[in-house]
Amino acid sequence: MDWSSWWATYSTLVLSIGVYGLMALSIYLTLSCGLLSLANAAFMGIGAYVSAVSTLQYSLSFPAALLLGAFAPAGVALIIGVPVLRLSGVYLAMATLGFGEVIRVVALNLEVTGGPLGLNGIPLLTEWWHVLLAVVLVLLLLQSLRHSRIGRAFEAIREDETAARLMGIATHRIKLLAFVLGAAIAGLAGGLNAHYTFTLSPGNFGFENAVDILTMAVLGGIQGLVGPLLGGAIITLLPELLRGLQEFRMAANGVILIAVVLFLPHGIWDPRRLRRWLKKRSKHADA
Amino acid sequence: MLAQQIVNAISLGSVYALFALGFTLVFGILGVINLSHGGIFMLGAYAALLLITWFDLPLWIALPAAMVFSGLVGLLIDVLILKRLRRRNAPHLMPMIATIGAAILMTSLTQGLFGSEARRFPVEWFNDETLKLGAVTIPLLQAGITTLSLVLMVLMMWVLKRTRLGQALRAMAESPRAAALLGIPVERLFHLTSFIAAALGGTAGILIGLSFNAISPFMGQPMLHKGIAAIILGGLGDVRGAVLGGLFLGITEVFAVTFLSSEYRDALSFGLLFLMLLWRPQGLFGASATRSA
Amino acid sequence: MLTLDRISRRFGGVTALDQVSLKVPTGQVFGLIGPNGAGKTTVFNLITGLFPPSSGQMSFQGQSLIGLPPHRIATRGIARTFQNIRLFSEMSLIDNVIVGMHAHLDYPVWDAVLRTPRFRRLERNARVDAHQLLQRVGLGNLSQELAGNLSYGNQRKLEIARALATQPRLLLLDEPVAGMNATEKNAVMTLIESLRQDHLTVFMIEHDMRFVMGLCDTVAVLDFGRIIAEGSPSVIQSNPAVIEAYLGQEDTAS
Repeated sequence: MDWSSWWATYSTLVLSIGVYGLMALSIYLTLSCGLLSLANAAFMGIGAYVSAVSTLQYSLSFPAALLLGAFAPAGVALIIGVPVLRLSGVYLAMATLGFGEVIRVVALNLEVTGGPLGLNGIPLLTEWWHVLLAVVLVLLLLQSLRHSRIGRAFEAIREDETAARLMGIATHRIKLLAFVLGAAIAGLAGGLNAHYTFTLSPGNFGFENAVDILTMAVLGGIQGLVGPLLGGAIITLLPELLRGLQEFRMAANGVILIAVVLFLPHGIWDPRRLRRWLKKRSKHADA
Repeated sequence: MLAQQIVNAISLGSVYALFALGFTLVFGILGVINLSHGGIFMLGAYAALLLITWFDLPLWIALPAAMVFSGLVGLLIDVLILKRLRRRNAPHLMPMIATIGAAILMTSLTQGLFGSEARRFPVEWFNDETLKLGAVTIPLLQAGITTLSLVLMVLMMWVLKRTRLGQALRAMAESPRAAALLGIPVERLFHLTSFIAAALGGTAGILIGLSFNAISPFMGQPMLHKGIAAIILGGLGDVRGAVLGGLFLGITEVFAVTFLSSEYRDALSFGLLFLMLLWRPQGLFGASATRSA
Repeated sequence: MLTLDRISRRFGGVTALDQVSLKVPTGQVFGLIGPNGAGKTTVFNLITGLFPPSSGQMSFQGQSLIGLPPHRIATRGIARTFQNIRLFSEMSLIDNVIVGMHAHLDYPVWDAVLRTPRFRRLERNARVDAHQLLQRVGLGNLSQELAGNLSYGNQRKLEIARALATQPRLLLLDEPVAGMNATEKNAVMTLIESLRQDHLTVFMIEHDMRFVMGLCDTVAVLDFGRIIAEGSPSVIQSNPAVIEAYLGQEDTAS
């Protein structure tokens, strides 16, 4: 198979690996701050719809549409973040799941989003290097945040929110920052996604998607930035890899989720376990 | 006409409330968002269907048997998955992901075994007897469904409020560690809660299956969404709240369909949900916004 | 420096603090003692804004603390340690200390994203300062270790270093030497002496009488949520009410 036909077959899959890598990074951001938020799929949906409507109906340029697609969910996150981030733990998870449902139902009922049919004929503007560039930029952004006062504040809040506040960290503002930034990244991913899938429908960004995204982060591991990318790639490829199982493919998916939670609690990419393992190896080599 | 709709609304709402009650029990007592509750709901309906169509059992045997079956599924999930996660004090997202895995497994196995298309109870098996209450005619089946879910709910609330078991469960909802120190057999009651919650969820599945006479592997997911909406509206982790939230949701749906149009059915209830999230994200009865259970 | 004026705090029906009035003078080492459950840690929780008093007034350097959120109180210059140690256990020692510098490490987000020279300079300085603080508490050689791996005594020392990183004017220490051996206690004693020399005001809760009496300029005694005595260590030690409520009981216990 030559390159162009390979690309014709697999381009959607390859682009999806990148887009879902972004999604996993966006949920990593909130998780690293101790926020169990499941709103990211909804934010992705807002970004997808806003940017698709921008190019489709207002003929905006692609970069402008992507930018709008990132800003719109960030704005929504800013508004709902203030009340919702008062909740923590499972309560926050529940409320953000509810929010996701609200967004899905809104998309189902609005005219501009095409109702239950969704949008069709979205221009295919996303090139492979757009996705790559977005992933690289987001990685650079998150990497530099990690090694700054903001990243340390995230980690401090995740470990002990009260102690963090008493160290002079304005925890509610830092959490809001993580929430809004996560929404912007998800919106960007949504915009990219919309412009290579041709169609959009409300079902794409509902509950299953929210859970898939969370699974990517947990499967990959949230000890660093590699884990979410890896998890995103695996979950995106899984349906392809399990194709042979046919109708029981989804069952295997379920078993994998349970197994990961029970046997790989820190995810696949766990630098600490890796380091311990390497140490053991080198000791064996020395002896 | 209006009276008829009120009856329909209460009937649907009471089944939603039953589902939400099981969901909120696990949430409040185990501190777990059990995303397989919708799957259990679906399995309950299938169990009843198979007992009736394959074994020709009468409803009064099939119903309790299917209830117990769904309870056992819940217990199995607790013993195989949730218990291990409790032991190692896993973060909240772990049980969520594991239970979604269980839900996917249930849906997929059911789909693989019985096919994707909706199945029905045998037509000849339904009788068309009705109850007449003044101007309102209530099919006997609907009356039975409503009565059963209301009775189960009241029974559960009575147990929680008035009995020693309920007292122990409430203590566990506050703090499992403190409850254990008081000599409450916490682990056993976690199992019991999972069993009861799943039995309630399964019962809701049977009742919805009976009232719409359509059972499919995918019926659990939308119900789970309604359950989430109901417990947010009513108050996270609060039993009264879940029941009222469920009733409210059913009533809104029926009236939205009757007076607006079926398109607005979900929009109205989820619009209210959204306002609730902005105004009181902990819900109507949720007391502690900051508890991180 | 810090004034508590008829502060009360009730939890449900229980009165944890009843009309507590205290004045912590600038530059002093002030001690608060009392039997377990007397409400000492509640005093610290109120001062640091973790929950509001039910009634009464509190002020720090002449400005009221009532209604301020904890992080504001921290940036006003009040830092604390915890009786049940609350470190960021999965972070390195040096990062724990740098978290304490959060409010003073005041570059905007964009500086971090663009890695501007200012960002690099401030981060570098923070690292140097943090290292000095670790050395000051005697943990200089462990800066890359994870906080969770430290011994109990060293964790208490790290908490003090982290609190000092917020550049406080008033340092609240909640049982700073609990669980420490004699050598470690002496080290902390020397540390607090040196803080006094740097004109830092210290307000501590401690059970170790030798430690309190040896360090404090003024000692207040809290019993069942009320202040029953206040004065210099020698006055306190000879106060019959105090001996009755606390010292006598402590003597028989130890």
